[in-house]
Amino acid sequence: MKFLYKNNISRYFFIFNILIIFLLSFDARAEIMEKTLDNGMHVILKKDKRAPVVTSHIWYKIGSADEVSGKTGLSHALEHMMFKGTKKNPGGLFSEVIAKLGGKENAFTSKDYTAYYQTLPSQYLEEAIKFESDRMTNLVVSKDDFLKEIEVIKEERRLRTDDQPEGIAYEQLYASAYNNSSYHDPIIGWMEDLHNMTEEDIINWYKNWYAPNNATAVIVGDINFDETFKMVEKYYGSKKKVDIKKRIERNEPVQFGEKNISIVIKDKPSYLITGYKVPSINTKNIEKWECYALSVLSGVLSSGQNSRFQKILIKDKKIASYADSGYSMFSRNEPLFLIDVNPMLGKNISDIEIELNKIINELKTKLVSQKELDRIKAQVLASEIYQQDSIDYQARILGMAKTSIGDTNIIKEYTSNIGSVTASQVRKVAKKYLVANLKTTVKVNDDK
Amino acid sequence: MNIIPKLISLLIIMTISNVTQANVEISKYITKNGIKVLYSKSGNIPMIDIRITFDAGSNKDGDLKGISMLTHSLLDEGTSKMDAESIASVFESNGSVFNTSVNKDKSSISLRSLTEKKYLNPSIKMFLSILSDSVFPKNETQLQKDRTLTSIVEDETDAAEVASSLFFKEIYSDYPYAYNTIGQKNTVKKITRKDILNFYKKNINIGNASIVIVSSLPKKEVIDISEKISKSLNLTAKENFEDKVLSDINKEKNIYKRFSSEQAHIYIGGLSIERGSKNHLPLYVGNYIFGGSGFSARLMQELRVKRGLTYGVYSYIHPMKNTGPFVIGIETKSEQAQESVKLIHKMLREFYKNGPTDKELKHAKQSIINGFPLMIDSNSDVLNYLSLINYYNLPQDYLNTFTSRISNITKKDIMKSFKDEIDVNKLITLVVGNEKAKK
Repeated sequence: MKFLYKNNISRYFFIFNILIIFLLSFDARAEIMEKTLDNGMHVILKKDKRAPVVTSHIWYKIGSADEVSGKTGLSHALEHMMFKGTKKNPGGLFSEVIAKLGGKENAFTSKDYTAYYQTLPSQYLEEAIKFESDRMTNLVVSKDDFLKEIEVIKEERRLRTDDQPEGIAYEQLYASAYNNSSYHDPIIGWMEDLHNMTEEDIINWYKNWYAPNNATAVIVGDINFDETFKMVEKYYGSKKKVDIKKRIERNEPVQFGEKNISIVIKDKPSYLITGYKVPSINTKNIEKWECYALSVLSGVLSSGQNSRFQKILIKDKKIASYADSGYSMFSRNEPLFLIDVNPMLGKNISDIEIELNKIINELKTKLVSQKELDRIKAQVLASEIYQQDSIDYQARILGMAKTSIGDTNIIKEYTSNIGSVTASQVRKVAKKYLVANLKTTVKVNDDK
Repeated sequence: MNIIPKLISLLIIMTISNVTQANVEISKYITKNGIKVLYSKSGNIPMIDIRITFDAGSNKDGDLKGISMLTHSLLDEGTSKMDAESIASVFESNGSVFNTSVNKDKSSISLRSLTEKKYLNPSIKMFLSILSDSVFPKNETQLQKDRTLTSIVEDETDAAEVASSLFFKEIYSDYPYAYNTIGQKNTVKKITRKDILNFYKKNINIGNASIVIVSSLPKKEVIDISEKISKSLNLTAKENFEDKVLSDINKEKNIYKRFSSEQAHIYIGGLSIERGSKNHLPLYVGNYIFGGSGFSARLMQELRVKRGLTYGVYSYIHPMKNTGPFVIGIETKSEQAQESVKLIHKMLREFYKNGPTDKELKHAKQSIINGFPLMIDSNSDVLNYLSLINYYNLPQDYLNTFTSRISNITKKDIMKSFKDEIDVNKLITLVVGNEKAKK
């Protein structure tokens, strides 16, 4: 991310996932228009006339999952360099203009995608599109700019990962859980790769992946469909389709047993994070309901004051000060179902593991109650309304669904699919996926 | 969220409080027992946001640092009729969200609900009984104390937290603003259930409250809800609160604290202004140019864009009920700490000497004025505004006159307000980091 504290550490990841659960359910009444330009660029428009404001996003299907060993962090570094200007609009001119117009802008990179956005008064939408389209194909990457920016990125890495025990644990979890899947590597890249990265690497990455046929524009706000679509066509329509490289498939081989990693970070509190390899909605040869059942399962564990983690780990046993779980079905490859726990002062990680195992085993043997299911569903339904309060989230969810899954219908169906999950389905996915052969745990400063 | 430094969240509060828009219609209502209500009708989303603000932030903690935070976090843990689980069930099964927050001046208790009666009515009923009938059960109180202590100990291992605590202690000495809202180990340990009940009765009551509501509901229903809230609040009259005396910083100070981290966390700053100061807007615009506007600000351009020294550098002025702080913050690898400190001091002196350029001033004004609609494009944003206007007793036309007041600000106003309000010769400079961060 260019300049906000979007973090790749667990706490943030969880928050983001919870938001997804809360915000994904879509308002079916809202008007949406989708169209693909001749050059393959996809366009999604959504009207929200509550305020004279618009948010304009562009999503590229390129993220750390497309990187290879020795070249990690390229997608994120390129995202930073995208703010360095083009021949026509040199340096920070784009940012300067957006600021002058009273707009906000930023960008973010994930394992699956890279996205840029401007939110501004709706009468200035064309300015944002004009500049954004220019940097899709005309970026200038100078050595001088790169050498400075890579130092900024290293500072970002120190801030979010190297000085944060939970950041280190999160990174170690993915690196340990996956042998071959490209989810193995951190989004920001390993420090060693950042030291070796060059401006040529960035230029090549840009040429390979930044093209209309690898991009989706999402515009939400006080807009008129015809006018806005014409505007997008005017600035992007003439851009040429590029042959997008075939993505390297890095499938994850079978895991032979539970993996346990113990790390020591001096003078820091202890912490535990576990990940189970689970399917995403993209995964072949699974029933789609499995993903919805896993989402509900995560809600049973950690959503709200009456969730099992809250009641058992925090309130009854008093061994955790914080406990959470997270699962996002909207990922390109098979993700991890995450659980993380901060022990209460003076409590042991080993006690937490015992209780966690009991909680997981109970999910495999007993059906969750109707009351628990109703609670999750009520929360999802309410969020269908609340999420309309932010045009940016509306755009984010559309961009993510299209880029990672290839289809925005999935969002329209989300609430009803969650609604039809049954207790026995929840038990089935617990039995199938929350097992030793899919499990990796990283413990920080284990007391044993 | 512990990854966003406290100082950054303060920055966000400040920004919101300073911007307005053209078309939020604010209505005022005084309840029968005298509580001031500000409300606004939002668009057609069938939802309601209610926030009651109390003059009960951590500045009311007294010797029991952390008691305001602890009290608020326990509000929904039990009433005389219901336990924590049943309370949570009411909110969760109706899709509503109950929330509390505490800062150094004030606290707030909020409810977000759907407006459909079958969800709204039980949620409001639950909300009201929390306001008047929280009982702070013994077990839950002990548990919350333990969780708070765990957080405090965790914060002690985090360079950013250590730096911000130390910095405010230096600026505010023994004035309540010196202390984190979460409290301190020895004080939190001491707090008893009786102390909490006392704090609750003394502070969560009619004499201390103001209400704001943003919803799609018609006026009549909003007034009805306001009356219900005000009736259910405890009647205890407002106590006379004896504030401590806040003394000026008397000399410049450079502090280094060793801490094992790769990056050094640096804070530079001092005292600035209180809420309502006539210098607020000139300082706001000046700071916007110097370090308050993200990428376009001088600090970011010089330290990040030109030199690659940091991922983030910023400054803010945070007017509070009493004199708030002026803060510059940056994190950078330890080897670069002293270079960054020198550079920032040099830039600050230059800013005091020559002020902003005409181009910078023009750009900043355009940006702030054009940005109005964005600052109020959600119910949450509008709620924040109303709450600030209501709590700090800002003039009713504060928003309507905002753009014209911004556009009238001159370079001279900015330079004078900085000289009058922030003594650049008496700043605190704090570096927290490993050996290499020391001179």
